[in-house]
Amino acid sequence: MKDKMKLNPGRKRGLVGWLLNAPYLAYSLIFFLIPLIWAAWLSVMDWNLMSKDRTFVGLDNFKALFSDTRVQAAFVNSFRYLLPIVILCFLGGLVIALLVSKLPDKIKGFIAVLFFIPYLTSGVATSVVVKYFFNYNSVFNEFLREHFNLNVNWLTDEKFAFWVMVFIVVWKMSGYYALFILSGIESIDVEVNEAAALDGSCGLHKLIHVTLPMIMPTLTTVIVLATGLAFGIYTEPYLLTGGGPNLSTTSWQLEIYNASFTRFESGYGAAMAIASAIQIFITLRIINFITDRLNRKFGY
Amino acid sequence: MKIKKAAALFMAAAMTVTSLTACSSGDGGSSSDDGGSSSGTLTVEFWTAPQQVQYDFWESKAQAFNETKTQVNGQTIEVKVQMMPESPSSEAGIQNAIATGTAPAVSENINRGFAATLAASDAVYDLSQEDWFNEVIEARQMGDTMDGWAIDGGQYVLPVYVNPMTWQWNMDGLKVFGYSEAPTTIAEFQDIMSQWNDKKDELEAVGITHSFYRPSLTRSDQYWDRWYDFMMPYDAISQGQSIVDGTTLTMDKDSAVKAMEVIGTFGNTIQQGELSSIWTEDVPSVLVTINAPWEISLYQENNKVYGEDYVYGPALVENEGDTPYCFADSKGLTFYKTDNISEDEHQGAVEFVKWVYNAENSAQTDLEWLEATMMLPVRGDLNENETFTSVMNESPELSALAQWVPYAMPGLASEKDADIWTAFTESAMAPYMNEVMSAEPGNAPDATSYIEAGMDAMKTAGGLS
Repeated sequence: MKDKMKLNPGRKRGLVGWLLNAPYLAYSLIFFLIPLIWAAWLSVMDWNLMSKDRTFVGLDNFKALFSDTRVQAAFVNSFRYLLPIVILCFLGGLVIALLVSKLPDKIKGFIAVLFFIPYLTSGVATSVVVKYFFNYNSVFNEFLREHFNLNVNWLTDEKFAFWVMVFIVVWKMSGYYALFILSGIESIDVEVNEAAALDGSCGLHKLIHVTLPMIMPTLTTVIVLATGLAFGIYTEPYLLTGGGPNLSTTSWQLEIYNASFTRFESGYGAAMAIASAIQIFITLRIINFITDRLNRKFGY
Repeated sequence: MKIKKAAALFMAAAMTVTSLTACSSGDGGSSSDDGGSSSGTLTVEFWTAPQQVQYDFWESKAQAFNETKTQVNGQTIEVKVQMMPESPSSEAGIQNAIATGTAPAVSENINRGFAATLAASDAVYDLSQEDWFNEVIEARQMGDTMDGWAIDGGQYVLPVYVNPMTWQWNMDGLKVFGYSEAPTTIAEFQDIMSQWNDKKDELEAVGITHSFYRPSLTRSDQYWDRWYDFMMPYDAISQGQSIVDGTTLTMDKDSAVKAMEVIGTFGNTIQQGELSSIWTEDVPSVLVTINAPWEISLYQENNKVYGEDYVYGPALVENEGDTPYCFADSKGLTFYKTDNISEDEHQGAVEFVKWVYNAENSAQTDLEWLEATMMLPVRGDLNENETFTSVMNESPELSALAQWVPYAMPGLASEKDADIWTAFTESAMAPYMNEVMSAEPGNAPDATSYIEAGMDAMKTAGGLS
């Protein structure tokens, strides 16, 4: 009887695994799966969340996305954001990590934390500071006008507003990604560096042929995280440009917010959210495919 | 490989959910924990605008009312006041509260456009047939004003305050053009703007570099700014012609073109860059802005004198003697009709508002409101009622604004208000501004084709005929 009650070690391990994962599974169920199902249901309804009448509209909300100029702008902008943000965050993080890695051990941690501070700063606070910095009558703009006769409307001129958004995100996130890359660089075996030095590899040659290949999994993580970041831009355009001028800085998140909570088209907003999720999924799969090939090339 | 696929799927799913949930919060508050009553007490939730001064005003009123121990069905009413959540807008906060069953029995801070959305959703009470409501209207002499608040023949809002939106002129700038008072007609305005280039040096000598401050002219997300910069001149030029009536676009095209060309007359002298402050600067750098009555206290704190530093001017009319209709930045009280609010709670909320605005208390209430917020209460007798005489004498800027209260028209009674103005901005205002910014001041580009495109877009966006 006692033997029957006793679980075999494999089943016991499985049970412990489920038990340990239960809080996360419950969290995912409550905060992701149920809302996801609810969002899918909402996306086929014409409902503003306030009315007692909820009209089933089938795929009409999804069909309307194709002719919506705001959705088209959000779709295009998500890729416009993606490229500079991923590239600049990656390069910024890499440069910071390389510089910090050369510092004496005593101050390395402290300096790394300094670069991390922008990440901890609230997006709202950052946006307010940037807004003041780029005001027409700010010290910076008065300096440009007086010394260079340059009159730039940073936030209301299409050419500049987009790059201001990119600049804020890159400034905020580079230090964060630098920590990932720094930990990757630090984990490279000393013997590898010594061997590279013996072979005469140094500077840029060593970076390209030794360091980067050795931290490829870390770089993959950074690229995937930066991709997610680029698709999730909201606070900066919301507070600084409202997605303008001429929708040049708008994003999926901003348009979803405007549809759901400004124009009270919550069903349509849910359809937008699902469309954006599909775009994110496909993009991430493509990026995964590319990074997988690179990883395989370097033996990971 | 499978893990990465799952991670990508999870990230996409997470972003979908985050998109839909990040902007709402569950802390809307509830009307009461136990259905509104406990131990003979009926708790009634009242939400104020998210401004400390308005919260303080209503909190003091609630405390005074609670001391009267007024009862509904044997329960003593206790009004609890809290600021409405801005998540991130107060309208989204109300939407969230209704969706999650945590709406208050009554709130302030509701404009006509949002009231139309709430009314179409059957989420608020129609007050037009309520005796107490009509008594309040009579006590505050709001009869004429209420016509502009009707929504499909019903009344869903008890207006609390009104800011007539007009022009705010820089006195130093006006003097350069030989004006000692604000212009009142389009002809006078054109006279000013056609002299702009000739007077440039004189204007710069008094610190003025731009004519009109309006960075949001091309921002479709700030659709509400069209109420101020487009509806204001349109209301005056069209002599109060409505823009939307029911499901019909009734905007007068000729008036709309002229209103648009008023803005176009500023030409490339419009300040589209963001300024952190204008009227509190030692030397304001623009000639004119849309007025901001809620900043009057700020001007006074900065020793800005009405009539010397700045002056309000009426919405510009075509002919001298025309009525200067303008846009009313006006908000009021709404009673929510949702499942979480019992009939007793609704009655408790009505008793509170009745007490605040009855014939005996309304003038004192409105005076306290005016003193606390410096925003004009919606009354037809502000310049006649002795209760307000001393405040009006002390603040000529308020007296000036009060003269336009009867002509101030609230926004569209359409649940598609946001869509309509967003479409108008995208199809008319923003493209027109691109042309205006390369035009000389005093030479407005023809706005006809832009208005035609804007009207088509408004019809589509608002489902209008």
